[in-house]
Amino acid sequence: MIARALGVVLVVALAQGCGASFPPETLVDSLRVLAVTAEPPEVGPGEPSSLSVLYADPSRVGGASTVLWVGCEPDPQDLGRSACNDATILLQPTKISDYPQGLQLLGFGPRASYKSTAQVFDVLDAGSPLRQSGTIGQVMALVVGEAVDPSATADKLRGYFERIEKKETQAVVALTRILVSEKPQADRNTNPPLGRLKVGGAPLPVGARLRLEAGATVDLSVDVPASAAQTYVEQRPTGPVTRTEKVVGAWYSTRGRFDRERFDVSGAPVTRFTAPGSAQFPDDLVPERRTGSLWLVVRDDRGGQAFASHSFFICDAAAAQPKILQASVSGEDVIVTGERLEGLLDVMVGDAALVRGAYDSVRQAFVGQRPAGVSGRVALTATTRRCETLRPPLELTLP
Amino acid sequence: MARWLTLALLLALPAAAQTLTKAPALLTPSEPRFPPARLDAGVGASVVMEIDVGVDGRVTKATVVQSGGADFDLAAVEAAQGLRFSPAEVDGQPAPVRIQYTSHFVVKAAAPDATPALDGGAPDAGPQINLLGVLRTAGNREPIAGAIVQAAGLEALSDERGRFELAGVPVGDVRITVSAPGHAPFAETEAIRPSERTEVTYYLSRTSANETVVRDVRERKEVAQVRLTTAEIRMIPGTNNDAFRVVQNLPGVARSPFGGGVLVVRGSKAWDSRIYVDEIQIPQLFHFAGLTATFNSATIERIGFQPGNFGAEFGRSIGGLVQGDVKTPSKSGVHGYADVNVFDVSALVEAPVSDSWSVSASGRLGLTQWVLPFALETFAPRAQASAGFGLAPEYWDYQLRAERKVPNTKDRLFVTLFGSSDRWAFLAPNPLLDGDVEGNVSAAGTAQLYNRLVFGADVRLGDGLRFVSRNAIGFDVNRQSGTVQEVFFESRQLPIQLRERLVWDVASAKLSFNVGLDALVTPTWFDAQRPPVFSPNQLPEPYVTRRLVAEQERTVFVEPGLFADATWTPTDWLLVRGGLRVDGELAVMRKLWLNPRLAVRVTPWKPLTFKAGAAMYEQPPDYRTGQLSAVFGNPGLLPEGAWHFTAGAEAKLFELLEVDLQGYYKALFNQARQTLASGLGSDLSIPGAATRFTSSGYGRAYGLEALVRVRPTKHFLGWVAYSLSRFERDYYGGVAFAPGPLDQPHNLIVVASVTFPLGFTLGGRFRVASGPLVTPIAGALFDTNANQYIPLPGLPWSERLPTFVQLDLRLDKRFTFKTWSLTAYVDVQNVTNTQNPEARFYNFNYTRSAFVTGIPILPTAGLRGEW
Repeated sequence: MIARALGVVLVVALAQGCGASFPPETLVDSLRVLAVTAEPPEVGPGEPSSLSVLYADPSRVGGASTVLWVGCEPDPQDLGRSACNDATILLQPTKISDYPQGLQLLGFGPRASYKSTAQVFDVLDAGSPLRQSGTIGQVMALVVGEAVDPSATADKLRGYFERIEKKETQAVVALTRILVSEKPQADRNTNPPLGRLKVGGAPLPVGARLRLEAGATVDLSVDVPASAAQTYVEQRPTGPVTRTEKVVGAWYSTRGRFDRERFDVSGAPVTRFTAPGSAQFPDDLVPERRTGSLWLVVRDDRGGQAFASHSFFICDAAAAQPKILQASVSGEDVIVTGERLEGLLDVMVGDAALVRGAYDSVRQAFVGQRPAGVSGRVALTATTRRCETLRPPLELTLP
Repeated sequence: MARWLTLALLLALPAAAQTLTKAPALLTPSEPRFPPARLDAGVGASVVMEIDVGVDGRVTKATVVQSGGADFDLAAVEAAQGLRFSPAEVDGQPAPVRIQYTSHFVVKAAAPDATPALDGGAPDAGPQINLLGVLRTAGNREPIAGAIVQAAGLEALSDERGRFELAGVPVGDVRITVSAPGHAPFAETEAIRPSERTEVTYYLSRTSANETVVRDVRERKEVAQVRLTTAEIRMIPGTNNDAFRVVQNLPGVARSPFGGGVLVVRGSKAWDSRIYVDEIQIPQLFHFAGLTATFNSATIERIGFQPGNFGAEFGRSIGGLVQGDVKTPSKSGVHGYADVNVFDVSALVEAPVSDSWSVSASGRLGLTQWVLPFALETFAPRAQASAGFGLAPEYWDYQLRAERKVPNTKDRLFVTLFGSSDRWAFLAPNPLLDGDVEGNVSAAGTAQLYNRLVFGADVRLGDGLRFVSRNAIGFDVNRQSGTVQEVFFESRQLPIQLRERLVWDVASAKLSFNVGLDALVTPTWFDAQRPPVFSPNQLPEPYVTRRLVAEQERTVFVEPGLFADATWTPTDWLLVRGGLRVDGELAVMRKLWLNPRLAVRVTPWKPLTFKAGAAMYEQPPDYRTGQLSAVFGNPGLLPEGAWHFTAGAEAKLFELLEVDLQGYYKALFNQARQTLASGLGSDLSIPGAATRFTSSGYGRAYGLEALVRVRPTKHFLGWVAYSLSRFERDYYGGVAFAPGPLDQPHNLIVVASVTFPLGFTLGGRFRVASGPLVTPIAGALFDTNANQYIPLPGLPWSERLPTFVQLDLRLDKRFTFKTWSLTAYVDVQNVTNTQNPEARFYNFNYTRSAFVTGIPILPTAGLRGEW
């Protein structure tokens, strides 16, 4: 393994020295899985963990995708018997439909649940340190670029897999691991909490889109509390050692370029994001609809993960100049009326943007749902497609 | 009065290019009979002959190449049969040579009668020596033996120390001329004063820098062996004057990936081939990236390379052999060299300390620790940003030797202490721990050290009976550290090699025996901390460091070796060589194995020899890497084995061309390989196979090798080496059988070197080889915990990259001064800047790839001073 690692390092160094250049890892331009979270990331034997997957496919906007979940029973004796880490099975997904020993179908859809058997550690001595250090339950999320019928028969399911194997259908396999241990609840790993995204040092209103001038650069940062890096005891050959997790953030976007792909959150670093349309990256064009997505995934080095999704908008100087005249609340909806409101981007109530806010041409109003957690009398502000901020003298009272 | 004169010029004959280390010196002159009729007529002449001098110094053949007239020719040839010389030495051993020899028939006027002393004093004691001196080769001060010094009609022959004396040289300005073998004619005018002895030292320029020798100096017993001379070694571009690197240009050796230092013999892994220096095994052939050998080539007298079918005297190897013989330190004054180039500095000093003892010391220090970081920063700043050196490659080696050699015998006694060290570490993103974070890099490094203290003796015990002893003790350290902190593997070894053999030539029975003991005892200390080894078909676990296994193990590997080798030459045209060898490992494997060896050479017509061989070889699995460890390997492994079959022919045409052609087949069995955890070909159903390695691997190698060596003139050296080679092995526990990682079907190497006047030498090396194999990536799995993609490999080593083509050139200019010489050289690798793919480099999710190309055009320059 050491030699292999050295070889990889050499090849990487030589390749980079030779000028081999690929689109950055942060650029999401096809079907990609960006994160799979397990809540909680560490469980006791027989305890469930909820799984969810973050994926995107900008190449097929509006296209159907299906997530298929399979899991394997942990292998506490490390005998390498798990079907989930068998490369030959992963290369031939049709084998999944044969349900190799130890592999189980967990379900379809963006969420699933995993749990090991309650007897997973029965093969170990009662005093085995492995019970405390834990074993790994492996889960694979297979994201398929088409609609898969959850009630499909085994033969039909096999047909899906055959298309994947022949690369007729886009598919991505993501592996995540859930730690199964007999540790006390308080000592188990948790997913790192994720704070607000800051743009240029200022918190971005919850749910609001980043407004970016084409080709401009902005500083992005995120608040992650120091408690995200948990301390834990690790069993080493020399005995137990107390360690502190390293929590690492990773950026992704459909357009634009980051000056770094990953960052250590403990240093509160700033990542510089260059919006599409810059001279520096001539192949990074402003998207047709001037919108894009941006994601942040934060991981600790024991399997904990958390993610946040954001949208950005490339300012359009040719857009209409809106004027807000009135705002009202109707049930869950907030309705904003005025002139040329198609030029509005987001409407904020307090510190959060209206959910799914958009101009309704029929009602000739900007309509969105009130954000959760916002109540009382709040000021109304808005941002425009020209990247201006409107502060009309309006206030709303939210129940 | 008839006078004779000899002019002995060594010819550079192409037959078996080897180095003349000692010229023959005339011991007993033989004056030719002056044809009476010519004498009466007062007519003289010169006859130029080529004469063959045997190992006993006797003339075996004389041929006139420039006639002086039939009667003069006849007289000269007759007289030549009576000449006696001191034996010439080739590569330090007595050898037959062919020299050019001229007989001068000079008519001299009768000397005036002696005039009685007028003072009635003491009778005249004859002419006194009044001119004496020493002849040396300019540049290296080597004494010149067998040279003719002429002054005023007087002649003298220089002795082995280059000394000459002339008596009765007339007073006044006298023109001195010197004719010496292999040297340009020399002339000087000296003022001879009355009653004074004039002492001079003359430095003569060599006419050829690479004179080589004659004939087969040793009876060839092997069916597959190539020997190289220092002249061949020093003229090959891209090898940095390194003898061991020249081996990489021979048939049977595949081009190593990235031009690095792996010696790939007939597709075998590195462990299968062994490197010997003075019959003592060394663990590491090359320094970092194969830049240069770990043993200084300047101290090597001879290199032998056998890609297979070697005799019973060597074992514990199922691949090939490289043998280097260390030369006797200079016995003719203080000599040495100092060399500095882009990659390293090296030096050698050797000197005699008595008539029989001489010593040498040499060393090398790599400059890569300064050069490479600078080069990376200057030429590849992007690479520097993501991966660099935690510890830039450091390397050094040293060689100390004291040898007692009895003059004019093969008896010798020597002590050699040598060693080598390499250390380097790459700073790299930590691929397992989300370590691409800026500043979160770790180092993956390696450190290798070896030392050997060798005691050697060659003793003649009797008529045809010789005792050869080589014993060594060493200290080796091999440490590898992973990119993950606290992951390391270190082994320390104290290898003790005992090698005693008797060589008995029974001339009456035309038999030669070589029997002996060849034991290796290796106390080994393992200190390792690393995750459990993953099976090849298992995905790596990102939390491997949480499951570190620590092992401290002390083991003594005991490998006895006994061999008996016999060579029978019943006729001039038949040689049969057979042998048996017993090897084993008694401490861990507790096994002995018996390997038979057989080789036959048939020479139906002198220029043509047919050869064939069949032999069995076995070796313990690579215990240095823990394959026999109870924790990381499997102590129950079987010896890895191979059958070698070879057949071919050698031809020597007109002493200008040497052709060696052979085919081979090698069957590999009981190869140690990692067990497969689950899925296709899983070994888990095999009882006892839960350990990390099994002996169920097998494979085969077969091919054709051709070597054509050309030497049309003494100013040209070259060869063409071609290997047609296949290496196949099992995969997935035998489910698939496909080319091995180092399989290279075609490898063509053309090497040529030409010497020009004024000390210029131009060399070129052109290589065309099948592209390297890579394992295609069939897909990738996103590991969400580690935030990296895990490649899912297709059939191992099933994609061949485009053909490798490269031209290297080297230009040397030698400046020769009286007492030393300076060579400036420029070595340009990849002159055409061909972008040769060496590997594939993938993007983060393995959906796109590009070639990683080898070295671009790489000029290096250096200076080498020799004295």
